[in-house]
Amino acid sequence: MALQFPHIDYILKERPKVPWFEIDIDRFVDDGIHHAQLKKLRAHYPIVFHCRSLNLGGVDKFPGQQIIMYKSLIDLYEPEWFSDHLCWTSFNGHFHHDLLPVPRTTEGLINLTQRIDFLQEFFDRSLVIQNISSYIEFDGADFSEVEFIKEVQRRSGCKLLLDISSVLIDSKNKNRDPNDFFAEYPIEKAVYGRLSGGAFVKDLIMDSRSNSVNEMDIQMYQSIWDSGVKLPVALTRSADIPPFKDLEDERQKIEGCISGLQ
Amino acid sequence: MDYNDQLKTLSECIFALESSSTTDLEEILESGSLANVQVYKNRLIETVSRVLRVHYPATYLRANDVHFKRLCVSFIVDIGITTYNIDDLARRFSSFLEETVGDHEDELLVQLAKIDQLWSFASLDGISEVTVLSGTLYIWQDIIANQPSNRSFDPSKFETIELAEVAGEPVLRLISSI
Repeated sequence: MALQFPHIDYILKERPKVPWFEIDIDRFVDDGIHHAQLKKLRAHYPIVFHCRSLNLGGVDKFPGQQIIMYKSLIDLYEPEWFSDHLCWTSFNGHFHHDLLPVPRTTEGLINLTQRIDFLQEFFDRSLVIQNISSYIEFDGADFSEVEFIKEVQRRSGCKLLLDISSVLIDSKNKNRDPNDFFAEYPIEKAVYGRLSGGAFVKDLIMDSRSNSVNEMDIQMYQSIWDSGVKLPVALTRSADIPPFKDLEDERQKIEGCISGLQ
Repeated sequence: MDYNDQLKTLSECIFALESSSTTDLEEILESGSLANVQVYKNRLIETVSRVLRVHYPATYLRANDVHFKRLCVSFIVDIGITTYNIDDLARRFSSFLEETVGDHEDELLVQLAKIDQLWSFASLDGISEVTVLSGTLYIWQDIIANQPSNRSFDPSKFETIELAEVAGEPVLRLISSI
C-alpha cells in the first residue's frame, strides 16, 4: 500500500497486517518528525521508495543535492526498490509538477538510458521504471510505448513497475486495446505493479489516483496473476484520501480476488 | 526538430497558460493531441492553486475560487516555477500580490496575504511578526472564523502583528499600532 501522511499515526498504533508500504520519498527530503515516524514504520514493515522528481526523460542536469539526499535516504532506510516514472518533469529549471511523456525516438531512448545508467551507478542499485498514462502523443515516434519500455529495460538493465491502471486509462483515452500492451510487456522484468482509480473529466479519464480501483483493473490484475506471474501490487490513493480502514478494506478485497477468496 | 527542442516547445507551451496558440505544437504533436495540452495546463494551475489555498486561506476566501485561480495563473506566468517544492514557491505569493496590486486592485487581499504568510510560514522561516494596514487582523480573523465581516481597514495607519504561542497553540495578536 502507498503510505499517506494522514495514516501514519494510525498505522504505527494499530500495526495493520499490510505486507509492505510504498513510500513517496519526495516527501522525506526535508528534516522533521516524519522521519522518526518512518523509522518506526520501517522497523515493522518492508518498504519500497517511489518518487516523481528524477526527471529521467529530461535533459537538465541532475540536481546534485537532491540525488545525494536520495542516496543517504536509501542507505538509511534500505528500501527493497527505488522507482520513478518513464517521463520528464522539468525543462531548463522550470518544474511542471506533472508526468510528461517522452518522445519515443532513438534520441529519446539514448538520453533516457544514459540517465538511468548514471543514477543506477550513483545509487549502486537497479532503478525501477514505471509506465505512465498521458494525454498527448509526439509525432514521429520510432517505437510503440511497449517497444520503448522494453528497449529502455534491455539497454539499462533497470527493473520495471507495471502501473496496470495507467495502461487501462491510457488505452481508454487513446482508443487502443490494452491487451496489445500487456501481451508485449516484459512482465518478467517487473518487480511490482500498481492499482489506483482515476476520474472522468469531460471525455477523458484522468490518472488522478483519487478513487477506488476500477473492477476492470482488478480483473486485469487477476488475469496476470492467473497466468502465473505472482506480481505484488501497490494500492495507491494520492488525492481524496479516505480513512486508512477504507483503503485496507479495498486492499483486502483485491487480495481476496487473487487468492480466490472472493 | 531534435529531442531537446521537442521538450522545450512543449514545456513553453504549457507554461504559457493563457495562450491558446498551437502553432509550435503542431510541429511536434499528433494533431489529435493538440487540444489535450490544455489538460497539462489545467493540472499545473490546480496543483499550484491547491497548495496556495492551504497556505493562504483568508486570501482564498476573500478572493473566491475563480478570482483566486486567476491570481494563481498570473503568479505562475510571472514568476515561473523554478523549484520542485511548491511550498517554497508559495512563500513568494504574498510579495507577488503586493507587487501586482495595481493589476488586481485589491489592497485588502495584499494585507490578508501578509497575515496568511505569517500564519503558515512563521514557525518554519523564523519570522514572528508582520506589519499590515490597521484593522486587517480583525478582518482576517472574521474570514477564518467564516463570519461575515463588516469591518474595514484604515489605509493611513499600520499595525504590527505577531505569531505567539498561548497554551501550546499558535495565535496571532496585535502588538503595536502606528
